[in-house]
Amino acid sequence: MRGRLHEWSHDQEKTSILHWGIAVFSNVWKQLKVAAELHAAELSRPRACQTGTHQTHDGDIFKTGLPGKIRRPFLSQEEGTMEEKLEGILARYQENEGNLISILQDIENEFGFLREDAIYWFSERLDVPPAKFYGIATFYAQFHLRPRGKNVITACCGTACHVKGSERLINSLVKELGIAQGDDTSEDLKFTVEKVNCVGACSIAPVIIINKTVNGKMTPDKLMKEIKTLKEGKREYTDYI
Amino acid sequence: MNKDISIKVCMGTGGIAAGGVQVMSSFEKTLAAAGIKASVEKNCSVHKVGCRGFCARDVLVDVIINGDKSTYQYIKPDMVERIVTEHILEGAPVSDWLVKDDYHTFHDKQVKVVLSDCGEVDPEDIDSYISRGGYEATKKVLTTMTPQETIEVIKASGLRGRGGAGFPTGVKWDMAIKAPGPVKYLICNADEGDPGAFMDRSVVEGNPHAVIEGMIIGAYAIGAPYGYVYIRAEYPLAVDRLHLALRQAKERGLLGKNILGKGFDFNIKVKLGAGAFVCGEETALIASIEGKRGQPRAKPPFPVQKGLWGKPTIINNVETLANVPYIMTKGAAWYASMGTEKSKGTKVFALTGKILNSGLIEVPMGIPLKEIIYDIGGGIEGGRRLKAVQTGGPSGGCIPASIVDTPVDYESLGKVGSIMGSGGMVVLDETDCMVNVAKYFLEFTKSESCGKCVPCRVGTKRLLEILTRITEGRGREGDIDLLETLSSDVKTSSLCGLGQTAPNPILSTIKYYRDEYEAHIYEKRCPAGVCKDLLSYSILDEFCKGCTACMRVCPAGAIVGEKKKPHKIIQDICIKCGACFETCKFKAIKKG
Repeated sequence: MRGRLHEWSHDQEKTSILHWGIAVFSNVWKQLKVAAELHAAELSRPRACQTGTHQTHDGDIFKTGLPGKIRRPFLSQEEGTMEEKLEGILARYQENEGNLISILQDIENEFGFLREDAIYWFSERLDVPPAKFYGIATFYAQFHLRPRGKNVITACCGTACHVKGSERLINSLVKELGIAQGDDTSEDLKFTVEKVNCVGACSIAPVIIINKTVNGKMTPDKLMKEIKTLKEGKREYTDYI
Repeated sequence: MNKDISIKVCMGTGGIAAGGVQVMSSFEKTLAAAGIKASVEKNCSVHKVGCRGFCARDVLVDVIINGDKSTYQYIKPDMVERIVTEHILEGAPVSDWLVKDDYHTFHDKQVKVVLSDCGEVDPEDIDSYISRGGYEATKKVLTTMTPQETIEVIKASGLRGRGGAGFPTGVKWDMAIKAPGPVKYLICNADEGDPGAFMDRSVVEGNPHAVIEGMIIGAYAIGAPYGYVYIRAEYPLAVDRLHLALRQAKERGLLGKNILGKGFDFNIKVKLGAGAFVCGEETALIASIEGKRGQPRAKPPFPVQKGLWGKPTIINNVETLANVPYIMTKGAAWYASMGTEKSKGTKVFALTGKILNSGLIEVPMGIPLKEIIYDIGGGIEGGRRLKAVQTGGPSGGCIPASIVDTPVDYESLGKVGSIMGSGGMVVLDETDCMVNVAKYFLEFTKSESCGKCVPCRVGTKRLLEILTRITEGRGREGDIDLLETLSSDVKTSSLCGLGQTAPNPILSTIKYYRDEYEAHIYEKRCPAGVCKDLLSYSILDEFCKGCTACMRVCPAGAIVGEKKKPHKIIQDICIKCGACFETCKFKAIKKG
């Protein structure tokens, strides 16, 4: 069965994906009945599957989202595991409420960034054009379109951290980790340095979050020591503590 | 041993960053090892509590023996053993580590309502909240009051929205109850995006049940069967504790169907914000919950007429909702007795920046700013002079030291060109450049502008460009006038609150610090010594001992010289980071 999102909306307006999806679906069905024969050949023909590059999404949605006729998206070698992961995310929202933002958040959690093939996969399954996903992905600061480093170092740039010298910390980080100008991730994909507006820990400013661990009252010296332990793999920063 | 021992360890984000988890487990281990746990059994407990406001002193630990409370500050795990032996076993508190007088002066002038249970209750245990009178208000409202009566109490209390604009909460609810249809939504706005404000995080982390209780009462009053909490994903601890609290409330029948057997249904769902400041705006927040780009739309229709999924929707701030249970139990008259004529009750502020005692404070409305800075905050760090207080985040303005006796309430702050906002209060001292501060906020609003309307999208960009060129020494004559004109255009023609308030930091700094702008533009000089391009560093030969300390810290390799001989800075390579200035112990580096 094609994926269906259950939205927590209580009216018949087409605001939710569910309703939107159903509307599209029934529309598709009508169109299909009219031109069933014509399309039969088209549908049974296996589609070209390209890895890495993308077939232009023609927007012709009636070709997709039909039971048993799902166009295979552009999956890479680890197809099996990836497909399972994506199915898992989808299954979650067939039972629970969700929307495009929550799906994108789940993809981000699963893979660390928004994989293009994952977005196309959902686009197919939900009959939602990829542009809609990308519109949301580029709007919110939380989403990343490129792979991120194994260690993510987040520098808080809130007002309190700013007046207490967060900029200096960022400069020393970027320099120490050899991150190219205009980039945020080191070439070996080991470190990502990102800025965040405010983590709300202003009374211990300036704050640096290493993976999940919040470090307050940071100085360039202290920070360099932390980076050293991180590089040598002496400590794993995986939780709040 | 016949003792009642309770140990409370501060475990907000600040407490955990300072090592709260280790301190707590160390207490548990030591108490078990000393055999105390076994001898007093149930009367010995170690709790985690939320933020009590004074995060700068973390880890803070309360040791309560037979109701006698001692508070320790800056506690590390290895200090636990001595506390257990000397204080708990021998009954003599370790006086070296106890909080000093300044801890008490920090708390003395505060009046705690919203924060009254933060730092007392265990945020991960509903019974801890109930034992302090939690959910009493829910029982009272649901069993003895009608929705309209509930709204009348909130109206009489004078509670105004704590998110920034200060719209009377009772009036808002009244509009919602009159809105037609059985489906309404109550949204709790926990998308605290203002840089420099963290009261919502602390309340959700420290006492999530108060927020949930406020939502239940609000939903009952307006007749909303569904509620959402829209919370920032950047607050992972708050999100976890909120989920846990919701689960516990549901298990106790305080959420779900037929609450307390009164035939009232209410459910709350959590929505994670994805990091967009503009989603603090009501219509943008609604769009975001619907799974769209968080762009605001024109009002009317207001959310209370046509909100989430087109249904009447009320959006209240975390702090507003957390006030509700206390108003319901203690009465509207009690709440209205605090504060000023138009601004009732108390307000939580995040006091940060160059202040000695930074942290979360709650004060009655109308308290002079001076008392907050000098009495509660303990004055300025490092004995420097106060320059200004920035309130209201990127939508607010700077209040100069000369009018620091301004009372803190919605009207008075508006009069001096700032706003209350959500309660960020960043203290700036003489080493802060006001042009740079204005530029910082414009950088923020420029990147957070959603791009829907032209005045905000283009206006903030142009304003930032002008500010940038001023701070880089390329300011032109007429730039100040240009800033003022453009600011007032952006203010009047933007679609939503973000654009309408974005120029406030510029306008208020020009109003009070015009001379600083002029120094940047005409003299190419930054009086506070902050703007890099207007600075240069040099070494004073007579003070330099040739210790090579500066040479070693210079990230650009711009310092040369032999050991024990005066060094030199090569100006072409110097990136003006100031590292040498801070490292030099002999004051041999000159900035200017």
